[in-house]
Amino acid sequence: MRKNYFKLLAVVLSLGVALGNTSCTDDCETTRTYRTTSPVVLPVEQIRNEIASQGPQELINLGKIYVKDNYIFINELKKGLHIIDNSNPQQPQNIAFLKIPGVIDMAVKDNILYADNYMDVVTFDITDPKNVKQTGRVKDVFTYGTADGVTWAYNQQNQSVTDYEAKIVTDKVRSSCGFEVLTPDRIYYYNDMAYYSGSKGPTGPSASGTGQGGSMARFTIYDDFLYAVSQNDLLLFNIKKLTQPVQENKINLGWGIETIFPYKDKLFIGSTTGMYIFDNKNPAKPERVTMFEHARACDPVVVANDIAYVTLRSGLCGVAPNRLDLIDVTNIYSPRLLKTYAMDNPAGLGIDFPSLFICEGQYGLKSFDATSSMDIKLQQHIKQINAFDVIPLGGKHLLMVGKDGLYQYDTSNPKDMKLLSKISVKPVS
Amino acid sequence: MKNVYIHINKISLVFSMLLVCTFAVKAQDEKEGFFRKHKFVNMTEFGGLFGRIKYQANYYGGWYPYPYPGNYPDQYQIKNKVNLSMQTFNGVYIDSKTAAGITIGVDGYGETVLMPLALGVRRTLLQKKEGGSSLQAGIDAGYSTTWLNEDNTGFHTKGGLLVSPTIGYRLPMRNGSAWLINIGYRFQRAEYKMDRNGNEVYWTESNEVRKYKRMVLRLGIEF
Repeated sequence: MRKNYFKLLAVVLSLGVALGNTSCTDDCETTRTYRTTSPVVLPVEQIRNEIASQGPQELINLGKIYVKDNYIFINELKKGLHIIDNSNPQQPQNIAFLKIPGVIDMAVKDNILYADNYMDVVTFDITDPKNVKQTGRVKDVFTYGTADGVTWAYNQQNQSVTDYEAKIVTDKVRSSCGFEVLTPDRIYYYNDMAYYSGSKGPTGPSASGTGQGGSMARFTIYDDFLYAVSQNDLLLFNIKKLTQPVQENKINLGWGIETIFPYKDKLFIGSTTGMYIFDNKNPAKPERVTMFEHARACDPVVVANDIAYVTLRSGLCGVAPNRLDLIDVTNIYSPRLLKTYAMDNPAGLGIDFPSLFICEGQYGLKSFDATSSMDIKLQQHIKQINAFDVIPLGGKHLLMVGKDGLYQYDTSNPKDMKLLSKISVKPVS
Repeated sequence: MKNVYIHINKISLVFSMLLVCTFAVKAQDEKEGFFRKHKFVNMTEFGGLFGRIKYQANYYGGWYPYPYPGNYPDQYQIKNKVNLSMQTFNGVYIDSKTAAGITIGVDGYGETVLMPLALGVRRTLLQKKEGGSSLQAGIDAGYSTTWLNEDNTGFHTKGGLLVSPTIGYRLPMRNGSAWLINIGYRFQRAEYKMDRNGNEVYWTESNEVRKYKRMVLRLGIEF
């Protein structure tokens, strides 16, 4: 029996040790990964002095695109512009990078490039894209701006800009094993008129000497004027002297202004709640004619043959259903809705009548026959690509940008578009 | 519809396990072959899981622009927790003192319900008198499934390892059954994953690794 007692003692002891070592407190650890923003304060001198013409750099975090003749300007959000030589669409060459802090928008007339530099508008001579020279600057034009959901603000008194940089953080927290529901503070620092920077569409036929931007563009050139929209104003610059714009007029538009799109002698201004139409017969003094209201949504607009094509998409701007609206604007005093088509998640769109191209984000690129606006037919759906913006370049050629690259398609047969080339983009999470 | 099928599957699995047990009992009744040599035993117990939780109380969302750590000292909070546990051990005596078999249990940890499937051993350590009370040790080791668990939208629970050693008394009744009182330790692992939510600018996702460490106290019956 002695042996048994000894065994018992051993078991009890080992159990005791096990209990002692491992307390009766639940051990739960939550690993959280999140994307957040942290503020960065930039002095004005730094913003103004850091402009530089550099060698080609890898494409990353793309914003808007702008096309002028054989050159494609691709915005790397708030960092600068990539310049692509597209003389041969089958083999586009990345030739240079123009570093501009805070750049979101651009427009080109002749050989002069207009771009924003946080609060300023800067002009460049791009005769030699590899050696771009700064020619002029209009100071203190904007007080704040939004890109990629993040809003920066300019403090004129402190001569500084507060911007926010996004970062992905992983951390570990000792948590309650699901027994306590802790609702963490959620603080949103951006205003919700934010738009997704990757979402653009093409403008109509370009005026002489100027290039082509997107339907999400905030800069556009008409006649001798550069129009720029801020969150609530339409700003007018006289560019008779190309190299040095002169600010002439400022029209308050209200709230949530997103885009500007010139069509014939009119300006279509997209906001999160509707579409403003301005009569632009006198380019120095555009006059507001009417407003067409819709549900709150991101709403790139293109216009062709007096029909406005508007895509509404749920996302950062609102909660409207995903759809395509066709609006008859023959009479700009009373635009009327013709028909609505359901879409997956439409972003940028472009029209090369009668072909209509719509980017559906992760759902790919769609090509439609828009000959009859009451009966738009799907012609081709390219899946497995990420499509955000499309620019039809006159007739048989299309430029499409997504999260993973810049694609060019031959659209001579809109039912069977052929891939001409692709420039890869370095993925960011 | 898919959910209904999953439920039918879960329920039928439990039933088939019970059926296996019934067959075992039946086989024992017939006293043939294996079960003549090795007596079937069932131990069904109910009890509580006693422990505490310790968690960080200043817990900021992924949207906070000045994320800790660094800016705020960690503050911990302790709370006592008692949860329900039940289990049934079905096995055979492989010698006069040792029984081995399968343990199926249900452990509720708040909204998370784990259903462990384990291999178990029970052994009599000490018995003063033939047919009298005895001191009994047991251990169950296996995997906690989440078959009985339902998740909130956007969350996924995953089961994990279970280890539970116990020691206790076996108090025989006159009819051949016995009362059981067991006390021991119960370790269970699980994971609780939250899908990414938020928007393109501010999003968050998380995964909680849960190690439940509890003292278990169970009362039950053996027959």
